Amino acid sequence: MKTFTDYLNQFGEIGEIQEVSHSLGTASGLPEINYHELVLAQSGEIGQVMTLKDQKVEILFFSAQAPEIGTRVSRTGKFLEIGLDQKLLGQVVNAFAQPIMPDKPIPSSEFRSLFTLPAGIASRKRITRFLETGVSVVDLLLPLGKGQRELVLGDRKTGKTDFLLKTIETQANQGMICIYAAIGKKMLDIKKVQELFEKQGVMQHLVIVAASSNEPAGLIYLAPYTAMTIAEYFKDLGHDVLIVLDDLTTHARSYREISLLARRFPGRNSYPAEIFFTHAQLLERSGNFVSQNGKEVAITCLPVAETIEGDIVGYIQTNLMSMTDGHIYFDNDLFANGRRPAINPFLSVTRVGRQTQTSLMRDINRELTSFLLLYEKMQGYTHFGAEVTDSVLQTLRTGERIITFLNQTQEAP
Amino acid sequence: MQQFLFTLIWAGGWEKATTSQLQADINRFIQLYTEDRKVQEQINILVAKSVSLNSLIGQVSRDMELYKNLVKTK
Repeated sequence: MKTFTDYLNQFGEIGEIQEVSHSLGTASGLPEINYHELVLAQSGEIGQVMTLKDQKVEILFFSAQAPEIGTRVSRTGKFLEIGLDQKLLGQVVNAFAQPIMPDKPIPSSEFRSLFTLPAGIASRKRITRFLETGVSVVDLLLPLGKGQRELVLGDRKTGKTDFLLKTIETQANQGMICIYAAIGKKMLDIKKVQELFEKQGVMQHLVIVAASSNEPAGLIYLAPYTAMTIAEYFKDLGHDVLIVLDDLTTHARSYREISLLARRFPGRNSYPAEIFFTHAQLLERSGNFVSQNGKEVAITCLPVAETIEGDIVGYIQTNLMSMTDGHIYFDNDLFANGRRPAINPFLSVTRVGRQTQTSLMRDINRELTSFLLLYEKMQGYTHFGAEVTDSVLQTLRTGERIITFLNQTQEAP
Repeated sequence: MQQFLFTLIWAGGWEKATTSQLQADINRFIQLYTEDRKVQEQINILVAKSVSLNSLIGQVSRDMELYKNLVKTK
């Protein structure tokens, strides 16, 4: 980026901050500025135009606090772009795709805007390739396909992240490029995730996009877009990509914070009216595509939504359910009963995964689903302490063995 | 591997085993599959050739003792 004076000379528009509210500032004196254009303050802060009003513009600054009232701001003529390169692999980067621990800067071979439109239907292809997660209950009962968008849903501390980390490990070991976006997570948790991947030796297939909970809402808001832009870059290079957005409820809360500060009209649960569009447009950027050389390349997306007290009909949760190709539900009760992962197969859905299965997998899926239903029913009988027949006992014993087989902790091979 | 292990249990393997014994054997099987190329190849071919669960159960039941010994001896 050039200096403040350079931009001022280039555009000849001197803006001035008139109002400040946390990281949002309102400026006047920028009549020709565009929506989403970047703004540079004299004090060095960078911001993005969020709203265009009659004589004023609202600017979201990517710092904890907007510049003081009276600070001069200048147009830049630029839009938010991140530098991309294959050397991003193995790095933990911030929402601007810059390494958090910069040993040496990553050279950028290409720059891309964060806010691009999803690819059209002509470049998309039916999902036919199976995606192995390494988690038996998912691979056998709720199969996923490469290019699928599957929501991961559940309360806090029910093993969602463990499942996602296992999936990343399995896929990274198979050579897939994985992007993990830690949205509003504690820095300590992000560090733990990084250490785990380093221990597993899969970091060279992975990019972690980290926007920790103590960063400004603007950066948390940008993190999933950065992750998706990195995923698209690797997809365009011909790689299959797995992207995990952990989690979009925190992202929605950050967006709500920004919108309320900007005094936008609040919708349901005080979220801005366009929250559905925001998430749908983001998730639509993933899918199964045909590359220029006719090869299939996919961005498989696993967004995460946190529920409260098992309430799966919350606003953001149901929004996300309706824009994904199914959901995996982590059940509090199953977790309390010692099931790992605590996935409830009867409340989970996969819409396109089954079309990737072989006839053997479909057979197993059918048998296992009907058996687990029977097992649940039989288990109900034993709660009364009633005498059970030999066939019921046999079912219960087989059920125990199947549950033992489906139980997988994070440490399990 | 998951399909093979499920079929092994479904076909009656580990019928008299305790939960911990079963868990330990499953882990050993997975380890064997990951480390031994030959075992990995054998299992992959077996699963790929089976078009239905019944055919895989048939194959697995025939060599049940062999698989059990595989886990014990390694």
